[in-house]
Amino acid sequence: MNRRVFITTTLASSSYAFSLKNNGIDKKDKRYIGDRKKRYAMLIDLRKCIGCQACTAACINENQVPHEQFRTFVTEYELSKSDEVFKAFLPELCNHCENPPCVSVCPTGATFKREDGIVLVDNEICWGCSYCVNACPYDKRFINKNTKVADKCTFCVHLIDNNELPACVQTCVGRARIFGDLNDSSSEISQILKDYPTSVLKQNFGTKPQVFYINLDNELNEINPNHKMFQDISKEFDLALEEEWRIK
Amino acid sequence: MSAVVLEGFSVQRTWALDVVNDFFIAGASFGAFLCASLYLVFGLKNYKNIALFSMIISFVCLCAIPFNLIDDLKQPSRVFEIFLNGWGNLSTSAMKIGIILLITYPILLILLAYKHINNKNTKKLGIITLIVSFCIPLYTGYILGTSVGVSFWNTPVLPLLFAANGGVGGVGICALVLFVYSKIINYKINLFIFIRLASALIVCDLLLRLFWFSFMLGFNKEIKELYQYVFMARFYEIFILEFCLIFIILINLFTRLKNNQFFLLLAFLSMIIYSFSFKFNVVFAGNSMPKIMSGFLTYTPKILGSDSLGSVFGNWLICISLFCLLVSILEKQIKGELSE
Repeated sequence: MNRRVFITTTLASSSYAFSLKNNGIDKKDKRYIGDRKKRYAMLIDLRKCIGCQACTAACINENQVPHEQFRTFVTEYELSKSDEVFKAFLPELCNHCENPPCVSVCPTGATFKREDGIVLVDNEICWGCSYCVNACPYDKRFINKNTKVADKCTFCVHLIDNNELPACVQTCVGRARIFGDLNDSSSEISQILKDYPTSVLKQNFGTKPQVFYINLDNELNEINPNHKMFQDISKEFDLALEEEWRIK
Repeated sequence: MSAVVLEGFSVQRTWALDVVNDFFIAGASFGAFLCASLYLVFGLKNYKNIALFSMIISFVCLCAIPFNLIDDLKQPSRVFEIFLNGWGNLSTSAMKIGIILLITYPILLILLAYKHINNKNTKKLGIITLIVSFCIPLYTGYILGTSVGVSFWNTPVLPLLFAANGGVGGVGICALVLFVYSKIINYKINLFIFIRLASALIVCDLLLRLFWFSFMLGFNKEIKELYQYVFMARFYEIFILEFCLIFIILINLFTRLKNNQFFLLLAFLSMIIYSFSFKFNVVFAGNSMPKIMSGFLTYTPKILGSDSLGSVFGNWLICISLFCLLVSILEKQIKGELSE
């Protein structure tokens, strides 16, 4: 390589690096862009959830999620108010926020939001710095043990792109999970959102989650996970915890 | 109402010792250059003989930062992805901004040192380098400050706090290394100037912390409870340890003990531990807090492997070996300046 070639190559690669472009998204690849006409969202009817974890199992099977890691999970609570004791279930997954804090902080542009609202991670670009894991207010990102990069729920994007439903929605026995296009006013999710009062998790963060809940405005919303009296039996016996970080 | 989680899943925390060490060294790089800039930019004659030495310390610290970052990556072989992708997030991703700073700063530092050694006017370049240097701890604070998910970190005062606190650590490292070096080459150097500078930075640091905590107490009940927890759980580290260290520094500042070499050494060590302890507390307090799942977490450090005590120790060994290399190259210039 002579001096001229070296200088030309260096200048060309530098100008590419500082071109303010994100690989993939700028290539106009359909996998990165999605369907421009649609805006996907999920609705979870907590009145219908029975905590069977069929969605959890379906997700693990469909997406080959590593052992003891979860893209979706149904947390089971025992709540007591005065003399009344009852159970509650809260299915949780990535909220595919309209203002996703995980996307803006990503230094490699591996995390991106498609035009149909789905937030994805390009596992060929992600370098596993965990910035997005820390930025997510919902704790719904993790470093995949197998791929060693950030991982999360994708709404089963590979199924959606083939006009199928996400695995958790397909398998939900109580039909508690409803998935669809918010831009289509005749879709089931649009109809239900119009007819029923719904809420989202941690509204105060301003992330505008696209996973809506029916009946969340009950005792579940009163739980403060930071309260020191909040007992977490599951974690005290949880062997899945990371070696370094353990529950008190 | 009380609640018990019967079935939940484990949350994952990924930032630990490497990140703490990275933030500490970034602050130290700024602190060390601050010592040099007092002569190069502000023209204070007291700091003339330590200018080159401080620049070397700043450069050494800066060179060690990327090693921490790469060690913390889960896919370290993809380190070049940061140059090829994600420039669309330049204005919002603190890590991206940091990369530009980490490339720019050493170039400026080398140019400045070259000009300084050749007795050329360094003021204009010194000002630019000082600004870039100041941005190094700012970007580390910005990394945490923009983490919406952790309410303990999500505050705009954190970058400034990291700069003030990092400065203390940098001045401490500079003073400690110079203390040891002066004993080896048998030179007498006025090291008291470092304590004066560190004390001024500690005052800034404490004032910023006062703002931080007092603002946070005005927030909602949930955040208040988090802060109460942090203070209760980390009472020893935050109050006892940090304020004992400040006390040691103040003793040296106001009493005759400053003439005692042992107390001087103790004060320099206190500055370093003070800065490291703060970064440790901030990173670990934030990481131990629950976001949406319940329960506070505790940390047990790994001895060896990625993100372990061993990797932090290794990083410091890189710093020491690089320092030795630079000192052996610039020995004549350093000795000449120190003897002035």
